[in-house]
Amino acid sequence: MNEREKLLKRLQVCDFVLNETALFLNTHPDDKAALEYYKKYMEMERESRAEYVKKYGPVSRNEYDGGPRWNWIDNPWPWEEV
Amino acid sequence: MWTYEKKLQYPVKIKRPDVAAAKVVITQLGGPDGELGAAMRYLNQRYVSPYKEVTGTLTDIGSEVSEMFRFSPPPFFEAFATA
Repeated sequence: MNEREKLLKRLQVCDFVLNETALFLNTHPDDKAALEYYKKYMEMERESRAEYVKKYGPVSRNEYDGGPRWNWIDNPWPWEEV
Repeated sequence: MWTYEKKLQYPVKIKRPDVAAAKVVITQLGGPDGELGAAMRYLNQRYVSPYKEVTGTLTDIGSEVSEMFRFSPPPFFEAFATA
């Protein structure tokens, strides 16, 4: 696993945790522990995403970095070998 | 893969609920020749596209069609329910 894949994996883990915790929170909207847990991963997700986008380009279309090229189309797609 | 935003892509206000029209709309959305089927075709065809410009565009329009689906239902079902 190279550096890019490791970073991507971290982002995937964060997003997975956020997804599942969000489902729990739908039915337990005032659960303090769950909210704290969500917040912790939200912060981690934000950091992982920012680092990935900075180093390897956008994960999602709205992450254009203002550079000279629309690099959304350059990113290796999830089904491609790098 | 998809995200939901609590806003409409374009403001919708149904003035006159119409069940017959609603039936046409939901078929156009999810029916056998509907937008959802088109979205799946865009998203599958991009895997064999030899140009990345096309891969990107198929991804974007394939996602946008799904956006239409998820943006349209609330006012649509509202009209259906009150008819």
